[in-house]
Amino acid sequence: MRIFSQITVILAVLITFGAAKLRFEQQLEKDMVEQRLIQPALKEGTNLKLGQTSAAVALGGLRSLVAAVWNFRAFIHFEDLNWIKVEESYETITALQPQTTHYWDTGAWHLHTNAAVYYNEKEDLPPFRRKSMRQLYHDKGATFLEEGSRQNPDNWRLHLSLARLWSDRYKMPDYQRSVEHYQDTLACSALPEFKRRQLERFTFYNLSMIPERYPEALAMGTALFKKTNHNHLPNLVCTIFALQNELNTPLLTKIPEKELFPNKRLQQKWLKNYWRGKLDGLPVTGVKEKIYSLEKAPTS
Amino acid sequence: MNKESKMRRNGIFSPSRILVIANHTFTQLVRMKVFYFLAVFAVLMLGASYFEMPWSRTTEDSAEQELIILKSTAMGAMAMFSVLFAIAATALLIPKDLEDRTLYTILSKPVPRFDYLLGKLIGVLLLVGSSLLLMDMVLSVILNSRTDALIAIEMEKGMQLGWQQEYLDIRREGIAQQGVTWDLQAGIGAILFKAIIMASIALLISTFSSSTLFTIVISVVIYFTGHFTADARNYWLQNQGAEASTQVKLLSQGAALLFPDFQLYNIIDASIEGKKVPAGIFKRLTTLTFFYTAIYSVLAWFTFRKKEF
Repeated sequence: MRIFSQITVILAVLITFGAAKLRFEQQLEKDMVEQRLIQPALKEGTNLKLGQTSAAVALGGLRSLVAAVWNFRAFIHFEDLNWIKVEESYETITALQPQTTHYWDTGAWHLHTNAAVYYNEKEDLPPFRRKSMRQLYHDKGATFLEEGSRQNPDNWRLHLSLARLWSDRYKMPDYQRSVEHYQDTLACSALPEFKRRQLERFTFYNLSMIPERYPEALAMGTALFKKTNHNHLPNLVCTIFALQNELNTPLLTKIPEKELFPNKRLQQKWLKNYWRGKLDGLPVTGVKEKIYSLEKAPTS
Repeated sequence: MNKESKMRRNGIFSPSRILVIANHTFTQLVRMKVFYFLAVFAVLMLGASYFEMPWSRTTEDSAEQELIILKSTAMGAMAMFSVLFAIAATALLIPKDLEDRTLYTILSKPVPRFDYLLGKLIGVLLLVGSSLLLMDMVLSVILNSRTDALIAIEMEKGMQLGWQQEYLDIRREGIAQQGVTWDLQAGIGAILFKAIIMASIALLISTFSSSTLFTIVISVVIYFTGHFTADARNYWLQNQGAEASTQVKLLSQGAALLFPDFQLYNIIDASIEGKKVPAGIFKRLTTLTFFYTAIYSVLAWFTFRKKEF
């Protein structure tokens, strides 16, 4: 009988203390979530994927450990070329550690690069099937990164990974999308200043790949050129030169060649290099003609 | 010596007496060869630190990510070892003293039962604390050397690629932030806090339990339930359960009131990721830990004070 009365007293004290700590804990939790110090609750269904042991460990507050172990496991699936398991593993890993960039990035890389290339080069598949599987896994990788960006909106690295994916000419480039993602990257408050200048230039190059957006690209390129001498780089200068030719920019508004290029010798050199890389998709209007005229002109 | 000073010496709370019991408990636990686990931990750390991860070379910050994975492995193991130690060592205390008949010797002397319990608890916490300290030292040494090596590799790569000094400095700072920092120590502090609370819970259970196994099982159940307390509290306070049954509402209220909220101690993950842990948050966690430990210890004394052996 004594044990029951003791348990009653214990429960009463614990409930009283529980009521007293309730608001304190709620406020502390709120502050910690605001400062992104604690993780959100596990998504429904993640426990089932984890299995009993891992779920117990993860629920026991060791989510980072379970994620690290699953990351090793995912690598084994990658070595076995088991892409379904790789995809499932990274879904679980990112459910456990949604704020770790590396897991989103690596999971997406396995899908949009490794799995896509694997299917593209799988000779026992008919060509149409190879192409569709490549497209499928490329898009899966992109979707995976988009989910990462949605859950971490201020993570510039994930936005940048998406921008790079869509601007990669060896994959399935979509410059409209890459420009959007570069703009999202630039909008992140956490983006370091030293990166900003470089990413602004990349946004400009990607805009210059879209014929419908040439005027916008030229405006951006001109602004970048005038902003700082650090932007007076060969590729940027040559792109502005080609865009001005392409759009027939009036003399009054265009940047004169003398201002764009440091001298005739470098102009010839930069334009030649730019012409060699014409397959990149940047505009080349007037570049070839200018190279010829410079070659014919007497060297000063 | 007058009567008054004798009474003070045999009063309910004597730090020197508690320390003697704590010291004895610590020695008793050390003799159980628990520190052998450190060899396992060191091997785990060395293995994790030399594991090359070529697939991680896709991101700009792959050096940081390698360090994060090393810390995840280490701190996951630290959290697991410390909670296991805290629960198992505390659950063993009273039954072992009963079996050795040390309990009768101590309690037949003018030692207040609160002093006995507190001494025992402090002994366990000394063991957990020193184990964590040793693991922290192993982690710090390995993490520091790995950080230095990765910084050197990154700087060499940067020089070859002609990076500006500004960028080199930022990269160095970024990688160093994932090395040994005070924020990492805050995470290890949170691991210790969890272990302290679990030890005091196990102590409370062991005062009315007749079996070590029962104490361990119930403590482990409470440990896991503690990770759902936040969900239960939010469910209750934010009226998410408006359409739920009365039983579910009562269950969520009960869990929120009775169990400690261990999710709050998961700043461990944030410190692994190299995030800043504000001192204010850490102080509030320290306060919470103190109150939890105090309540469970007083309740343990309440059940133990008139227990007959």
